[in-house]
Amino acid sequence: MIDATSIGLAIAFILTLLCYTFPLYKDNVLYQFCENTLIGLSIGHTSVIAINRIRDLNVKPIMAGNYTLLILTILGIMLFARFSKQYHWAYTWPMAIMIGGGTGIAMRSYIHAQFLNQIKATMISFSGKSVLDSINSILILIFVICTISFFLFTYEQKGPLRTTSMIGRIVLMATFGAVFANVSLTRLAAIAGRILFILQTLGLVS
Amino acid sequence: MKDLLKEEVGHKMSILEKLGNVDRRVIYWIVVFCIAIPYIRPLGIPISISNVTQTAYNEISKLNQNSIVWFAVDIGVGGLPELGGGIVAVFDHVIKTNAKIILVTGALEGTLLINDILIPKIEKETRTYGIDYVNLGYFSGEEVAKTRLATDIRSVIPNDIYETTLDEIPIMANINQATDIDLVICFDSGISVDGYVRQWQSRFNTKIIGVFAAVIVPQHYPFFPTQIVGMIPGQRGCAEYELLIGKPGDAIKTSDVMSVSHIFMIFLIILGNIQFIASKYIKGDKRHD
Repeated sequence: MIDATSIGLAIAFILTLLCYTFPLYKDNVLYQFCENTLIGLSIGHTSVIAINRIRDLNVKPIMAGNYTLLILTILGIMLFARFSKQYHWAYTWPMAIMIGGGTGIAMRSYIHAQFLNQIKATMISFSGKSVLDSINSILILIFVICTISFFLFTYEQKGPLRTTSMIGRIVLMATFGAVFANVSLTRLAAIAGRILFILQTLGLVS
Repeated sequence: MKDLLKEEVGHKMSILEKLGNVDRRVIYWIVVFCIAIPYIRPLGIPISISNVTQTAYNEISKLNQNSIVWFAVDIGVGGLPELGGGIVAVFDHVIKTNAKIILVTGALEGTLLINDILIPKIEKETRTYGIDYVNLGYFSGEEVAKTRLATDIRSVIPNDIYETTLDEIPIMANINQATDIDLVICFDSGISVDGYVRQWQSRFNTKIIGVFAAVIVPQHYPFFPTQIVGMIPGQRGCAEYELLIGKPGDAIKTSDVMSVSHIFMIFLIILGNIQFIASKYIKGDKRHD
């Protein structure tokens, strides 16, 4: 029986196959059709949500008498001045407020959350920890100090500093390796998801 | 010069050069088979439970009917293949604890995931909308919005997706700030959880569990266990979680696939390095001659 779900599945199946014609064959008009469809749908979806947000958080309160929001509305409209050479200056004002406000808000908690708390987390506490966890904590402390020493550019790196710096460099390389492995994991998971969908649609996998 | 050119043109490609010039489509096709075959014929490679996933499971198990969970689906449909199994598994577990759930998203496409995956799931249970769970939909503004949400939820999200004001929703009666929330479960493939850590955990000590796409796991590991109480790392973590709750799903199915395709990736990396080092030596020898 053909229903909306079946039609949706069929469209998704066909579009998935067409999308993979680019990496598995070559650039072609069918792939470009999929690409443009995705962009169009994304913009449509984003626009609807954005309009709803503006309506709920801006238009409705203004209509209810909260006129201070008019200032924010004007600042929002000024962002569009970016597209004009003549009035480009107007765009810089709301941008300055956004960057200033955003940085201020982030910085307030940044020092506490990502600096002080991280230092605290690096400190060794043996209480209630297994031997392996304690060794892990010691290693973390050593590696953090070594990695920081790698970035000491004001001193010539010789003697003990050379050794710690070298260990720091190895730690950094291991970190980049871990990041690369995780990136590949995410990308492969994305492909795997689509291939699973294709196999399920074909009835090869339950 | 002409002789040199003739020599270059006439020079047959060595195995090393051929390896370095393999058509990328050949590699893509092999990857496709590495993924498809384990799906059709699962290998059943055992999965061990990591400490981070176990801790996340333990934290969720502590929830009860009086607990309030802020269920933030801050990923788009692109994150679904990797974290889809995890979303379902964690949501199932939270439902089982009878905790009250506030569904929310800071990602534009998160609304699709909530409406198409989570809402149909909870509707099958004997849970009442507005009393046991609520769908607040999308909020914009990233970290700035999270800062405001921490002290006044209503100023950022005045109503739910059905346009009912929060004051009219029973579950939201005594909830308006971060201190009213017992646990934040954040699904993330970017930097959304950083906002919760900085604005909710750091200021109000709110408990956070992160379900992360693998790509962001290394940068968030330092948060565990002091700032993020539990972490479900990538597809692997999702498979572990499915195993913990005893409901095998897509994540477990994908585990074998990930193992096989990664073995192929490791093989490619080794091969690429051999080719690179060997060709460097050969070129070096030529120069030496």
